[in-house]
Amino acid sequence: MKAILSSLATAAAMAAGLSISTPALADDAPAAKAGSAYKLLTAIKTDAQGPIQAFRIDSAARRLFVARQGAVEAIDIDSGAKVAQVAVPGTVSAIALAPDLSRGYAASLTDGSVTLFDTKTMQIVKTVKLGGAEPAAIEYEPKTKRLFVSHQKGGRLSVLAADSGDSIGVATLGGKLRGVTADTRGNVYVADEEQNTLHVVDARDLKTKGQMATWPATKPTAVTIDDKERRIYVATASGRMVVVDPDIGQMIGYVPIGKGDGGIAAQFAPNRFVRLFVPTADGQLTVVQNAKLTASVESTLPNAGTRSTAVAVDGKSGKAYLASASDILVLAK
Amino acid sequence: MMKKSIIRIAAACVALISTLATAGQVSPTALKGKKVLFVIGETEKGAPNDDLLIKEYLESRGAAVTLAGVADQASIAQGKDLVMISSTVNARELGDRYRNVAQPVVTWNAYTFADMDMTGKELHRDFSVIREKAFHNANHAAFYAYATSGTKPILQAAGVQHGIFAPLTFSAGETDPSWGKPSVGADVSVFFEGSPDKAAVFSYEKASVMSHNVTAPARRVGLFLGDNTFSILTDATGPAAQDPKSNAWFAGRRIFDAALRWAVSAPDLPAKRAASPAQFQAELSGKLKGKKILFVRRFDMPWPANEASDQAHLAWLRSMGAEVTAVDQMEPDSHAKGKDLVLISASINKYKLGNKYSDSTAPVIMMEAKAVDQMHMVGRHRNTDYGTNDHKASLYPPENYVQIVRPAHPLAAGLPAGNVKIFKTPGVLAWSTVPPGAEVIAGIPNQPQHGTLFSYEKGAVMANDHIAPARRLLFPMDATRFPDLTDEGRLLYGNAILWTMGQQADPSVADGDAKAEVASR
Repeated sequence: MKAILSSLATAAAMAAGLSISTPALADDAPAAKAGSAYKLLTAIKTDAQGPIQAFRIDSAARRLFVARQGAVEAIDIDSGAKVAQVAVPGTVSAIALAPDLSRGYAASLTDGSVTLFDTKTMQIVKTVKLGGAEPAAIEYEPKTKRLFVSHQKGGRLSVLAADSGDSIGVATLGGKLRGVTADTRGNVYVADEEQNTLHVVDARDLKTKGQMATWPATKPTAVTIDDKERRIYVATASGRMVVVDPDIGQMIGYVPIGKGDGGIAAQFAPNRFVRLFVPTADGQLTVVQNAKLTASVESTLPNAGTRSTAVAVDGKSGKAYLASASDILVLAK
Repeated sequence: MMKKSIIRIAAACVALISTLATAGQVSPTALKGKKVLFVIGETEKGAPNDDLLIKEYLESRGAAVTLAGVADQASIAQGKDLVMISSTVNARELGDRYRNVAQPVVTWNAYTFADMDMTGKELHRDFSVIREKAFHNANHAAFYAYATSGTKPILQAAGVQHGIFAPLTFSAGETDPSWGKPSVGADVSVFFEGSPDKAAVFSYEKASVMSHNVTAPARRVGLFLGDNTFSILTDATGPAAQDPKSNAWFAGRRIFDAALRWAVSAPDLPAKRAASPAQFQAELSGKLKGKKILFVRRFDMPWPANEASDQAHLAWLRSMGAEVTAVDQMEPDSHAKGKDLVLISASINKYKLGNKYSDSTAPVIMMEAKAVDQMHMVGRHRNTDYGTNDHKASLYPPENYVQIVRPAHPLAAGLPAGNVKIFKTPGVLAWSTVPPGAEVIAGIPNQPQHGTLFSYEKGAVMANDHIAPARRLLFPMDATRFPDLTDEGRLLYGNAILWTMGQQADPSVADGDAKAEVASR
């Protein structure tokens, strides 16, 4: 069993690096409200296998999946113990989970492949070459049981059958594709960092249904959706997180975030969206609340100690998982 | 030698065509390279303020934006292509500073509507700010607005047709939109709460008459935005933009953008006025020759003055070579088929005419003041929507002057803004409360709420949401009045005939300055 660094001394030292404060807003940004402090609960020590690129949580199975160089690690989310590991060629850029199929998927940025694994046995099922370079993000769409893999090089969206890994097709969208999310109405939304848009793709016939502007933000990097309230939250590399109404295709709000690439994860209470965690490449974490359906900054942690845009939230505990240089940081109020 | 002449002629033709093509059109890239002065203020700490976002938006459209504050003098506007005034400015401190600037001004500071004579002065009567709370019933009214007519220049530039639409994003928090009640010289493009008097987007062409008889020094636009409205203007993209109805419904930002583009585009310029009545007569003769005109009148009238006026009118038309067919008011309107123009004399009786010609696809000039409602040119309430200045129990006395309020419109025939004597003697003159889909060319002195010479483009929205099947025009010439026309009156009328038939007006502009301005833009 791998060691878990949870000593008070270490935690206190890391917490000292966390300057939790109310946000300093850009002049033109919606006003922020003073927020409650977020605390570093613990730091989970991991094997030193390069920076953490992505997280995914299977809350029901109490598993945290961690994307690393050459592997995906599975960690018991409650104990912090490493449970297993799946070898993946190259740099793992993204993870997706299909709980209904007991499958996990790891995209390799450098290998141009997706590795399918069994989430229960942590055995590899298959590794599929995508035919496109630099897969950046991966999303499982349960209605069609398809995987949508964006490529930041070549503007391709590869589509695989989630059970077999067989290729279903490719949507050529152009640009530099990053984050992917899907709603329950058969739409897949793909962030395009180069064209400053979200592509809307029909999940079944893979035809493009249009592009939605991310203005007043540019360089969208990560997306997540609140399907019930019909809002897409877009983290960008332009210092803003934008809220887009996917029905109208327009910005309905934005908040300031840190600099550089942004990651994003949403916390949901039963039947309700609660908040967002938005780490950025400059090491800042921005927590965004959603009071009265209006996004505003709840807290800004300028020195959160993060070294990656990887982020995930455990729906059961409400804890957020972020990545430092070598450890997993666990935050909560 | 001949080759050179051909080249010169071709070049001249290209220049003329290009002048005609650009006149009145608004380019999608009109903001590119434009210098914008943006006058902003401050909001309370923590209160939302979209000013910098608007600056960013303009810059994304290629404009160069300079910010100014309430302490800056209006001279800072020199050299700029556009002045914008935000609702965040303290209007008391700003006063009427930008009232006379020669640059186009777009303002969404409702108090400046009054200070710049774009509306009257009284709060809640002439202009207002809707201070409401989110989800309050009254606030919901501002989430919906009404586009008046797709023929309005700003709506045309926005690609928006008439009808109800959503300017603001629903559930987006509090905002404070405003409205103004402009003069009849304005174009109202959008209004709130079903009332054209609550204009959300209105504009004045350069030289048009604004409130208090003040002439617009350049284009002026009033918008409804509050401090934080810009970020919640609707703007369909993606799949919604490909559905025509959704695209039309979520059009808030497109209209904002179009208003700015219209403001910075070259203004319409007055037509060149004919040098003399004889020259105009000659021009008119050339253009009317062979035109088929249906003249609708009452036959066998017992009033000699009415009969004499119609006969003089017919003789005048025929003297210019028009092929005129005169029919009685009880004849079917199928007579209009194939005609270039239908003239309905004020000698008709409204009751007998009925609703004939209201759906005619031929252009129509109506001269009977009381028949405008059945032609869908005004609302249905007599003495409210329409009436006459006359000697019989009218609130308004007999009149022979009109006030040109839109001199840049081709129908103004090159006459300047101000009062013009169109009849030799005071008499019956039609007045109307003109729907926003029309364009008022002339009003009546001291009756600022009334139009008397107004027109609808083909496709314009008339009263009660009827669509004009062809051009429609009211010329306020009562049954006895043709012989009473002055030279200016005859100029206006003859020009109205040409415009309504769709004859190309002389594109020449009135003076050298105006030409230079076109060239500089």
